[in-house]
Amino acid sequence: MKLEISNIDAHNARLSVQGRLDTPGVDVIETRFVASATAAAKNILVDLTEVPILTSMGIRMLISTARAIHNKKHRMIVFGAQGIVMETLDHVSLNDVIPVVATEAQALALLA
Amino acid sequence: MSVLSLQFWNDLAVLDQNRASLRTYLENANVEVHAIHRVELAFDELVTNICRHGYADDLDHYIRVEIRVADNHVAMVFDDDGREFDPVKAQLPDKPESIERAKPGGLGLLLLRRMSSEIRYERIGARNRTYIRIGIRTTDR
Repeated sequence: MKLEISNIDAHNARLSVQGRLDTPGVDVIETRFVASATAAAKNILVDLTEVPILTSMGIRMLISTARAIHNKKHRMIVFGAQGIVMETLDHVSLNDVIPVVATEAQALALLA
Repeated sequence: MSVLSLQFWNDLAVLDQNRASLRTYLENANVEVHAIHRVELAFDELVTNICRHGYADDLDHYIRVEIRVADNHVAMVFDDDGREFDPVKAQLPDKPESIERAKPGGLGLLLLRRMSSEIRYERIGARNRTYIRIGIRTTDR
């Protein structure tokens, strides 16, 4: 399970996850994920390109992190979801509360 | 195809190794990757729910799961002695209107219902028995 945060520009950072966001995976990564996202003090673009599976535990983590970022007057956007991960996001209508787009460019366009 | 029988304690620490056994079984049955992910997701959601919400005590409890690949579906039977929980009748969460109001609880149940082609439940004595079917295609059948 890998987590990497990188600055895109002065206002936006990319948080990339590599690995399964299921119950065991979230147990491993959640503390670092939330801390990295909120400490950046920027808009956070969560890259799910390298996530093969996402369960309700992962969605719970995304929602709680997005809320923390929102409370700090920034935004979180999810991009790169494919296959079963995109199907999962659709089933829970995540896009109603956190923007979900296909690419990083689309995420940045939303923040422009 | 043979039946895969898993038996483990109500400890989420063993979830990953059992999920790996499940995946190997499905790959050996030539189940397509997308369907394997659906089955893994249903397995994760139901076992997590049993372990987190099924027991009021701190004792060890056995959970048993049987998995069988058929021509057009994967059938799973979950058997546990947790508190009575019928995933067919349980209420789904309301659709959130905003990030402030979003409540993550209940999403596992929602996913379980959406990913499954059939869910049945029965209470037998002090045990829950949950039957789940997930539609599949196999790669070489």
